[in-house]
Amino acid sequence: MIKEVRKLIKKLPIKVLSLLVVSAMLVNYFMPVLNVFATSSTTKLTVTFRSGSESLGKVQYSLNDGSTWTDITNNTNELSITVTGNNLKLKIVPGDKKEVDYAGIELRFDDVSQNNVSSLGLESAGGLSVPSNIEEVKLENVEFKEKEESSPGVGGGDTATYQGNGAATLNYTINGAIEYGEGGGYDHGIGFYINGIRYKADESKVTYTEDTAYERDEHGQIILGNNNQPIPILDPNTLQPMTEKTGLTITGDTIHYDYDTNTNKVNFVFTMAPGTLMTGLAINNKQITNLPKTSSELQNAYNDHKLEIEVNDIDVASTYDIVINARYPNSSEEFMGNFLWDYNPQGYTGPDDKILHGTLELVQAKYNNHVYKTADEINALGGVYIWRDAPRKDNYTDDREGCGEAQFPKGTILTVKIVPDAGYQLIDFGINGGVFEPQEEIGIYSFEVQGGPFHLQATIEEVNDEVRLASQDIIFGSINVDKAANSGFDIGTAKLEVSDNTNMSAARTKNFEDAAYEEGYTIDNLLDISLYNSVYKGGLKDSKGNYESWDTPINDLSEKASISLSLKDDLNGKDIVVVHEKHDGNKVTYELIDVNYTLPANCISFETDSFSSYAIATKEGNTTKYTLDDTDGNTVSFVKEPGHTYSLEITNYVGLTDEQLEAASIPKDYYNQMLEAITNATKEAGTLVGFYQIEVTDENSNPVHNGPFKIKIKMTDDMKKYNTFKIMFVDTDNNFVTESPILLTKEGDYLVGTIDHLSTYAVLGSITGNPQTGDLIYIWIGSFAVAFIVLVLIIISMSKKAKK
Amino acid sequence: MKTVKRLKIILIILLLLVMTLSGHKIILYYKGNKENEEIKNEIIENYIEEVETTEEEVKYEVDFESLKKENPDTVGYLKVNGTNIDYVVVKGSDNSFYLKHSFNRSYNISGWIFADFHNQFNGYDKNIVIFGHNTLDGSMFGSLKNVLTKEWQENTENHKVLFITEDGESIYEVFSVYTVLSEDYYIKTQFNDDFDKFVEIIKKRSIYDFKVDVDENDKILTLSTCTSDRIHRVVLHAKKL
Repeated sequence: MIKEVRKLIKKLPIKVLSLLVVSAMLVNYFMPVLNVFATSSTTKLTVTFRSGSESLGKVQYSLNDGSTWTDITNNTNELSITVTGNNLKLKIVPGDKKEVDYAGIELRFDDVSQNNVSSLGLESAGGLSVPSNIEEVKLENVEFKEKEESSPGVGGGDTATYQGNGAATLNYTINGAIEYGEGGGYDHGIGFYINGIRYKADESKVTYTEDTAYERDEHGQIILGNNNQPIPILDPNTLQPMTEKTGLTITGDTIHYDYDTNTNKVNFVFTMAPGTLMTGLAINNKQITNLPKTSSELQNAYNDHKLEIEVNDIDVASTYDIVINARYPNSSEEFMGNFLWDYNPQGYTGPDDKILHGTLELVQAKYNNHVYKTADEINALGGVYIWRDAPRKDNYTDDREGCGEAQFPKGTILTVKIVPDAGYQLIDFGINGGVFEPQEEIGIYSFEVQGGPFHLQATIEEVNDEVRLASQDIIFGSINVDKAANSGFDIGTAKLEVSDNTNMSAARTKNFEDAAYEEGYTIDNLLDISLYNSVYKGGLKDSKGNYESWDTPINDLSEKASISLSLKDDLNGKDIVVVHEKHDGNKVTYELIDVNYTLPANCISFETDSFSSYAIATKEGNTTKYTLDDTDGNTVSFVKEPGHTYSLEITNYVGLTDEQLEAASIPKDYYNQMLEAITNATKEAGTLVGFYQIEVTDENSNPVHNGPFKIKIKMTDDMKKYNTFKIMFVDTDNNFVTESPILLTKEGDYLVGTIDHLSTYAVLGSITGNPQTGDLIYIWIGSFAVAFIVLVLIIISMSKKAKK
Repeated sequence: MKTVKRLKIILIILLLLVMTLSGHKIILYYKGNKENEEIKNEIIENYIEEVETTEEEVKYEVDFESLKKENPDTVGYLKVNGTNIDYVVVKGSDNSFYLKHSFNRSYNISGWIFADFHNQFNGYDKNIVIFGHNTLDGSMFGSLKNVLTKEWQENTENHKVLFITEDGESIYEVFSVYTVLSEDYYIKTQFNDDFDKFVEIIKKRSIYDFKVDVDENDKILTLSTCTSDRIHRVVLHAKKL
């Protein structure tokens, strides 16, 4: 090959060769110029406008790096030109008060679409540089629109403020959203905040203006309080799900946007009641994906009586197309319990009148094993609690309906206290027909908060005071008790229990008998009368069908209560009293209370201010009390019919002298035998210090036997050695049979006691004190041992001597 | 010499007499104790029933109706932990009868457990006082002296005394134990306005601090027996809970 080239060169003339060499050198020298012509390739520019936009702005190109610009457009909606030159640039220039709408613009280089056209700088002063070697540039669907005066400033400082009359349009679509009425006192609508400003609807529910009616906290959030509940955004009146509500416009004299200049975002906060579940949200076609769904997420989003869904990454725009999909949550999705009650002491009887004639208080809430007790703690329970219009009587000064409302997370164990007014009882308390479980303390109930809305229902009815009888002799009873404030009956009703006291000890019975006897009465019935302040335990009943209740014993009253008891037996013609055992500290006294007796009910009525043991005591209407005495000062008291003359004779047979025996014609031996027999018969009860024959006779010398008789016997000198005395009946005609001794009490130099008949009695004295409870067995064993040892020693000694 | 021998014979006779008398008393004593033990067991078996037993609590039901048929003086049932005291309590017409009589009212040298006859058992006694013999074999109140030991005092289960009357079961909490020369002060049953002073004094006497507050509103139970020297008393006071 090389040989053949050498042969060709040898064949060319030298000039031709020289020309070729020079030509090559020239080409080499002017190559840059040639290259320019080579890269200034033709580029086809095609621009299309959306209808109407061709006159609102223009598209320009530059071939000298932006030094000069040439219009492509000329009032036509489509142009296609070919340009040739270096550094091709394009830009879009809106007309006066116009701006580019990038939403539909499409830019293609050699049919390759360019992404994010708005960010390529087409609208900037320097324009967009078209890469080299691009043969065709298409800029399609260029659209201009009126520049919004209210749109935020672009690229301003940290804060841009727009003030104007224009309105941002909120195209607001709710699919299946749930609305409740504003008038119902709920915040159950779907509302929204934009950059912390809450907007409220006008009556048309189409135009929303900044809500300035509410006090706000430092974050711009509305402070909820008495009747300051936020207003729902949608129609509250139909109570129907709202659909396709569009074209809402937000207006405001001033709308402040605080935003980062780099992000330039708008913040939305959507609010709704817990009874609404937002299942979808899109703003300007941007789907918001992190909506709360689980109970935990929903509870975290719950704040201050409402769900709050915050969306922070929305581009600033003059129009916000918002599409919300919402629905009622099903039972498993409910995460809050929302319940309310109503209360009005003025007599409102509307459909919400659930807790009339009673009060309801919140005691505590327990959630996630934590107990919230104080009002602040309860209110702070996850920020989920509102206690509006606490249902206390004194909260209401007019005739409006009062109500309470509370919301707690599902599963909260709520403890409430509900008490009826005086004269009323709670006969049903619960939800959905259930009955809450009463606790130990009066009026305290606990229940677990279920998901969803519900009414607390308490049925409180007027109830008469109750008398429960457990007596053989009383067939009906009633009580009338004062129910003023601080009477012990300012809630609930009174319950009187009357029962026969069959277990009263002999000593107490005797005390009653003695007290009655002092006025000539004898005891007919021993009764226990107890009074209670009774509060029903909701609807709970015992096995007998009676309402179960908390019963607080009332032992003393400031005002006397009236008690009426109908007796089985006819007491007509008798003088009747009740004996009342009163307790004053450590002292027990007995009072006799007069009664009214009415026929035909055999009803006794009396008044008393304390409750314990009572007895009904009677005497014949014409009896009177006699007290007889003798010259020694001995007395006998008894009750008999009037109009008689009685005489007393008391003789003590202990310590009679021979002279006295002789004067009485009593043989001494007989006397001694008698005393010995009496001593033996009574020795277990003490030392015989007196033996009395006590006799009362009437004007006809007829002895009076049946008592009771209260006796007072003057002590002898011999008796004064003793400190304890008893009296014991001794039947001298029947082998000295005795009855149980009766204790006598010392009153000065007299012994006093009550016996039930008059006859012969031994008085026995004893010295009491700390009894000797020592054991003598030690002495006996010691004595036996010592005697035994000494005896053995003596015997041994004697034995030794005998051996010697 | 004869005189000495005669004296020795007289002495032997006297010694035999002493041995006979002492032996008789010893026999009576053990016979009485045995009889009381049988009565006690019979009462517990027939008239006292454990009606409810949990790990923490034993409840007793006493058939007072039947007991009163056996002895109308029956007033209660007493049980003290850490001692052998587990008796039905009677109340005589004085404080001497049951020193020498058993529950069945027969003569018994060891007597029976009895309440001060001043007590009324009407629910309002401020100081229920119960006596019993300090027997050698530990029956009756023979084991009450246990309360003076540190071991008994430091066992808090011993601090609760059970006393059941017809009015129902009562638990008393011990607040004072001590010995004192025989006196009538601590067995007072009647008080005017001096009960607070009374409880203050008897509480101060205690040899162990039970850390129990007592005031004028309380009702108390007092258990008392002799010491071996017969001139002192072992005393326990407890307040009704």
